[in-house]
Amino acid sequence: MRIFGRPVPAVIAVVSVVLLWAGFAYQVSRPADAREYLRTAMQVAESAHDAAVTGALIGRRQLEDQVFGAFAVTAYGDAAKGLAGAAGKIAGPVPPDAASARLRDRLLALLQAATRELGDAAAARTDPALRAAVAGLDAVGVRLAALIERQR
Amino acid sequence: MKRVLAVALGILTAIGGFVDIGDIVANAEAGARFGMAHAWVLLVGVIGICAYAEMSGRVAAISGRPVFDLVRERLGPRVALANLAGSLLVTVLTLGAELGGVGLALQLATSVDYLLWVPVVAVVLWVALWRAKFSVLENVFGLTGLTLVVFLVAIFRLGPDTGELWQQATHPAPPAGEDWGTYWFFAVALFASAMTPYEVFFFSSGAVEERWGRKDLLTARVNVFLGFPLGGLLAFALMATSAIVFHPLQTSVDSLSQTAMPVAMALGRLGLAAAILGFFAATFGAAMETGLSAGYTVAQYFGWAWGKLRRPREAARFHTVVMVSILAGVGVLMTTIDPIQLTEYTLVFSAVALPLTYLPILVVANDRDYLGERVNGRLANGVGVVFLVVVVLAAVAAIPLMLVTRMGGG
Repeated sequence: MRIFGRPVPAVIAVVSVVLLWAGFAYQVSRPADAREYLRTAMQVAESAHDAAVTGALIGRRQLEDQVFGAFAVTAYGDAAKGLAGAAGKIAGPVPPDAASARLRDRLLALLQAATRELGDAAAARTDPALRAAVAGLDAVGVRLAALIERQR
Repeated sequence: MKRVLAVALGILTAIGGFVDIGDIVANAEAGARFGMAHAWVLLVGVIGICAYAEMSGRVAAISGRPVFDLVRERLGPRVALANLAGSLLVTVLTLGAELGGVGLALQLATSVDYLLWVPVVAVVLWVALWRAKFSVLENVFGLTGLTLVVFLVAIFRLGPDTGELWQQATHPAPPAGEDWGTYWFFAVALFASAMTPYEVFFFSSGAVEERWGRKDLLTARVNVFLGFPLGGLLAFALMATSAIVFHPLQTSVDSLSQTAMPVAMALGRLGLAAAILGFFAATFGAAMETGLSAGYTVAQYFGWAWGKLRRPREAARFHTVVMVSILAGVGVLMTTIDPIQLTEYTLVFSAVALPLTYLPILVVANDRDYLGERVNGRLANGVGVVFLVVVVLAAVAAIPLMLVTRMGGG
């Protein structure tokens, strides 16, 4: 048996692929509901937390003279890239309700603080300045961890 | 004495050569997020690669022909073409990931962006594969890769709570904040990192290039059964150091700089330098192996003259495939995809392609026309079949797990 001059299995295969692709396209393009928004927000918070904690770790290693300059520059750069990626993720989707919008605002404030402290740590030329930036990163890390814990 | 030295060198090279960018990334990420809860996967992966590497080495030593050549002859061009397509795609993507890994290692040492290093690394790789002696390359990079042993030393220097690590390893389950889907996604990625297809193609083709015969079977087995597990120990150390430093902080690892951090904490600048050297050697050595593997598989499928030991003029098409594969790997990286992300995708696709690589090896290793009385015994077949089931399960689960967990993001 043939449909449109093609064998049935071939038609079934083509239709399946089209349906699968359409389903995939729908999944990716539909606006996020509150649950999905929260999931994305948590991923962003976790990425920001990782960057803050890692930044603090690098700073401590620098204070103890355990890493060399090129490594520290790269490691701070990696952490900053993580933060930038996280900020991009939360900036895109529109919050579906007021609670999600409040969560976004809290998160953006923490992302901003983490970015500032990470930049200060990378640019620090003296030990006191680096120590201050590390303390700042620790504090942001703790606040992000608390936010993540509250939402779980 | 010369033979003992050759065996020792082979083992050391196998240890250093076992770890590549996939092992580095997958083990460090799994250790940070799940502690030692995936240690069993590493063990399973090492047993699997030992079983199949032994088979492919035996096939090459007895028949004098590489596995891929026999797959085409034994299973026909259609099945072999499916095998070729899957393996080649994964191998070229892996080559891209390895080149990116070399670039990242150089960035750690110089702070110059890895993308600026990638073309330089590609040219050096191509020149090395074109001009340098095979055994020299293999030994230099395999032995230099052994500097990754600093991760083992770091475990002891970090003074971990061994009871806690043991608890995590013996009670495999996702910790708080993680789910089973993500746990299994990482399990599949780790398994694929240990059983990367290019390893067996490279191993069997290398055996033919070095003209292994029956008398070399013992050497091959010692290399496989000692070298690979000891290489697995380095991978274990990567997982453990990450588990010790990052897991208690509930922090993920997604960069090579983070992976090296525990060594800096334990051993300072010198240890850090050794770790970066180890990353460089492991990824460059793997880039050589994947580049050659791409050439081996294509040339063996089409029946062209092939081999690193042949002059380029005598195996022009083989060398062209190697060169085009390197360019393709560079092309993938030039899209600016993060090499770590590329590695993660490569591991998933590698898992999907695993049955295409390992089923034909099992079939050929049971063929008396090629192996005579040296076909698989009961033990080899038992282990081979069990692992084939595991490989198929991993292949089926890889893509759904990737989609459901958003690439392990949870």
